[in-house]
Amino acid sequence: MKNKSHIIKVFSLIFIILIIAFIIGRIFQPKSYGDHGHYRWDAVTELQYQEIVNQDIKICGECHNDIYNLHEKDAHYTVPCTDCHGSGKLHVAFHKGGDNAKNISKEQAVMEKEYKLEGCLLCHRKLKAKPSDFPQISQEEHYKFLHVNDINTKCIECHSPHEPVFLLTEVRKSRIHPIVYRCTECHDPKPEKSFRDVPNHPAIFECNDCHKEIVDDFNTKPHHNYVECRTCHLYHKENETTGRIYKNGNAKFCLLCHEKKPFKDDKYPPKIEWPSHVGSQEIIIKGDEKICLNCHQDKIHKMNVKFRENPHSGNWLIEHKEFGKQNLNVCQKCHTMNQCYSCHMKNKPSSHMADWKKTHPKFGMSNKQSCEICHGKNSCISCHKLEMPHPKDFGDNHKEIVAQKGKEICNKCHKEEFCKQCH
Amino acid sequence: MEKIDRRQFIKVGIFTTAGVLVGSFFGFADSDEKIDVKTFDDLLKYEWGYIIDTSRCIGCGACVRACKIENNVSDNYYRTWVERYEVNKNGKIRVDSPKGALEGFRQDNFPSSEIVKSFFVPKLCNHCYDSPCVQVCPVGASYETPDKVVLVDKEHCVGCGYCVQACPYACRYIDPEKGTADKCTFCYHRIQKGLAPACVNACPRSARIYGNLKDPESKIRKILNTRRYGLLKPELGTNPKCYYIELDMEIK
Amino acid sequence: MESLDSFVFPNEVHITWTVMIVLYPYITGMVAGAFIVSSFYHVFGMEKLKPIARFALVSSLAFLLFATVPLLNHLGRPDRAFNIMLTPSFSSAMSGFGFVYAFYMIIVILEVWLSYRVDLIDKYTNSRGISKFIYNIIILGNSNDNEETRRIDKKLVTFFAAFGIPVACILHGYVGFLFGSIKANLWWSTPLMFIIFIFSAIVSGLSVLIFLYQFVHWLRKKKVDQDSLDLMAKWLWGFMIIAVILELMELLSIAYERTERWVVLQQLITGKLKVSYIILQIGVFSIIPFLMLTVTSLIKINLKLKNLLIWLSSGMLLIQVLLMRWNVVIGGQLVSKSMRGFTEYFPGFLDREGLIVSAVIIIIPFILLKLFDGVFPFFEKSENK
Repeated sequence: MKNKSHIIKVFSLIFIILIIAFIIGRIFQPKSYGDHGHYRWDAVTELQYQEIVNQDIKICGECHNDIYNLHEKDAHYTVPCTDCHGSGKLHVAFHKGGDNAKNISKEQAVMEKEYKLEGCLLCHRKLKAKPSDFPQISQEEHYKFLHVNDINTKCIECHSPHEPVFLLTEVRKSRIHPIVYRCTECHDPKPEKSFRDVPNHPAIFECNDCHKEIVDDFNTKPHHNYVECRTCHLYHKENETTGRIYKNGNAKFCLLCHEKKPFKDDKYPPKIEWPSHVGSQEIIIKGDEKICLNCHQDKIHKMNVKFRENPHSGNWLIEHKEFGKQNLNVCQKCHTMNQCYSCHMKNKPSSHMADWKKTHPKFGMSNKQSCEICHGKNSCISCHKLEMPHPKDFGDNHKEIVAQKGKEICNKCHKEEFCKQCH
Repeated sequence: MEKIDRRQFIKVGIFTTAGVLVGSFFGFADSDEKIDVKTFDDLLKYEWGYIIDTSRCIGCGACVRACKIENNVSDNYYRTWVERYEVNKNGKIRVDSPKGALEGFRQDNFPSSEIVKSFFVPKLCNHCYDSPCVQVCPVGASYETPDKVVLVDKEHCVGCGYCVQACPYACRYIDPEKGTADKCTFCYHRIQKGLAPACVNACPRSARIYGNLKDPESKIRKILNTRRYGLLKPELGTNPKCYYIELDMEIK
Repeated sequence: MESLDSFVFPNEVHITWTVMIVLYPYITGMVAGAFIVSSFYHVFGMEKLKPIARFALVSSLAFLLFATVPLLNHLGRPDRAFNIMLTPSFSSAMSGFGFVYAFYMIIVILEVWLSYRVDLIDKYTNSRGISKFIYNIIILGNSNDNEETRRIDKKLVTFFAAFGIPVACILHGYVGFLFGSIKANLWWSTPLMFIIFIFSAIVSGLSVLIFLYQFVHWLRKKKVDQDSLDLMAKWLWGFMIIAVILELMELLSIAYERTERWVVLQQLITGKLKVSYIILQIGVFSIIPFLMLTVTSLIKINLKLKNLLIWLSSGMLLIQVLLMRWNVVIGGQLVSKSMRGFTEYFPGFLDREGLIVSAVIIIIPFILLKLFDGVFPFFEKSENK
């Protein structure tokens, strides 16, 4: 045995080391390891405490309710606020206050208000890889088409990011329409031949096929050279066979091209100032979004735009004075000159002839409102020194006035016999 | 940021190499809110799945940016990214992913008249049912939760890199700052509170959809029951949970 | 469809397993190879190997002590390195590493201790002061030395040598298995990887032994044991043939089957790996040693020339095995999992996992070996010219 003692010694030593190692191993086992599998269960719990950085849009909507509502009903309703404005964590924490707002400075809480040009282009830049039904533009071509001179013009000068299409809910509800392809959806560049000239070309619906009359008329009008049917009628592809089409006549839409802006070309397309083009803002009746069509449908194509009874609002007869001075041609879109003369003859209504003083009582008795339009309410008093026609109790109280002014005044309107009715 | 550094400092000081779990208490203490922490049985009710609709992606990169902000992802590494495939008229293909689409895509690669077919494909961790990364982790830092999300235990990982090699989809990487493995966590902290993962939330085109596969009324179940989908590298037997609508065979 | 441009997944731009992971199987390969050679003497009684048996054992130990250094250097969190033994997840091929390494370390240390016990007791009795104290600890305070103890020691050494062979195979083989079982990697995934690694480990073990044996004897101006050298050289020749053929057969198999991965692997071999694989590993460092060893093994030539050729071949084969590890580990990561492109890798000079650190890691085991010579003299002092 003595000869084996070194063996026993060394093996015991190793054994002891192993036991110690095992015990140490047991001591240092991470807590919760193996609870539910070969992992630390606490890790699952710990991860749930990670901070949420990107804020949900409902949280944005709690304070920014107006923008939220606008945003929700338009084309960008699928784009969360955080995509353009940043995560918002500091901003929300700061404004909510409480413990979370500690250590956040006011500067840190400010979020990006205005998004850069590149920001819009990240989604809307035209790339071959993007699905063809997604609205995308080549910035150069888009600006050229709109005759925008300054290439650094931001998209938001024309498109409100919270309401980019301002029509979307209506388009979503609009009528179903058979598919309308663009040549460029399959071909690039746009082919020179018409598909009708190509044998065995798949059938393509063109607007012409059903709406021949309108298209023919459109082709004779100036817009024909610049826009196509779909530019204004907002065709929205839903699947391979159908989509939705919207009869657009919205003034905001026309203004995208035709409103005068510093970064746009002055000449093309013809530009107007807005809203002074239609007079003051009050003239545009709320809800009358198709106001351009009221006068300009002849520049577009045949259409059945029903006018309202009175396209002009309450004070128009007074306000049209200023407007008419500079924009007579606009009035002439709907009114003939004779209609003007029906009230005016060299600035006065035709009825105001030389003997108007004599003849006006008869007119004035039944058309008092008409006098009031130009002369204002109670303007009769300026001459008659009395409310005209007479106040209700005049019958009882006319004694003094007749005594003052004499019967002659009464005779101007009333015959002698009239007094005898009472007297 | 400060809070995280403080936590790290405390952890390094106190943890032994065997990873005693004192740090988790500090993790709890820093949080202001009372969170309804889910139990094991709660989590069993869920099975989180993901759909990517490649026909809808426009390559804007909002998902990549949102993920980076939400999870503080290091530069040059990506938890999710978008690839672009362009096929030219000679039948040659070109694939690219500039910075993982962090700044979107700026221009076509071929002259546009030569491109016949082209599309975007977002990619992320597939959270496989039989994930090879869970199989190969020597310390049990890569694991699958009861609701079938594959996660990395950042407090336990040694950074050996075996899982990075084992993932066929290249969605894992070693975090250069922390020295541990890292990957998409499916925004576990968000889905437990009913919020969508950052990438799903950011996508303006609903090209990314997530949901509970165990719920027959969920949107994801409905789509999987109606549309045709594909999986990436099915021959490897990983059984991924990320379904690609209109998967093209060129997508590897 | 043919790709017009290189594409790698965004996370693949930086590779994860660097030159450290090239060094690790290289070192453990030498460990396993040297140990197996030593065991051939102890277990199978090949007397011709007696002169190098103890040397092989000590080399194995020196390299073994240093085997984990590249791994620890590579880990993202080396402070948590013990997690692998605290919470091993046994579904992982790597999880057994800690245990196998420790177990094997015990075996080798025991075997060395038992082999050198006589010498150590000798040193103990002849030294004084601090040295005496240290030697006393090493021999565990038991200086009992006689026929019986020597017999027992020899028996145990034989036992451990036999037992150690499969453990050494596992220690090195699991690395091969690890690589071969990664289905995600196009270059690595093959069932043969385990075998290839073991055989090239034996080649590297034999090479390092021959190389150092001749080198040290040349330095000390001693005569080599020609029989032993001839035997090792013949075995080196045999095993290198097997190792190279295995690897080439595997490649031929992939090339012939032409599955999907062949298109990109072909580009890898003829592109990124052209120099290091085709020209260097197979061309220069396999064919030339093969020819040299064929000459030395089959043809009778001048002794000095023969020994020179053997020494040169062993040196070249050492480089060949290193290149093989490089081509496997790095090459496999250069090719993208998208099958459409390649990334790049250069270890850098001063990086934590760079070339200078690698050089240090390779050299230190040799220095350690030199130091061991003082404590465990592996070549008999009685040999003289």
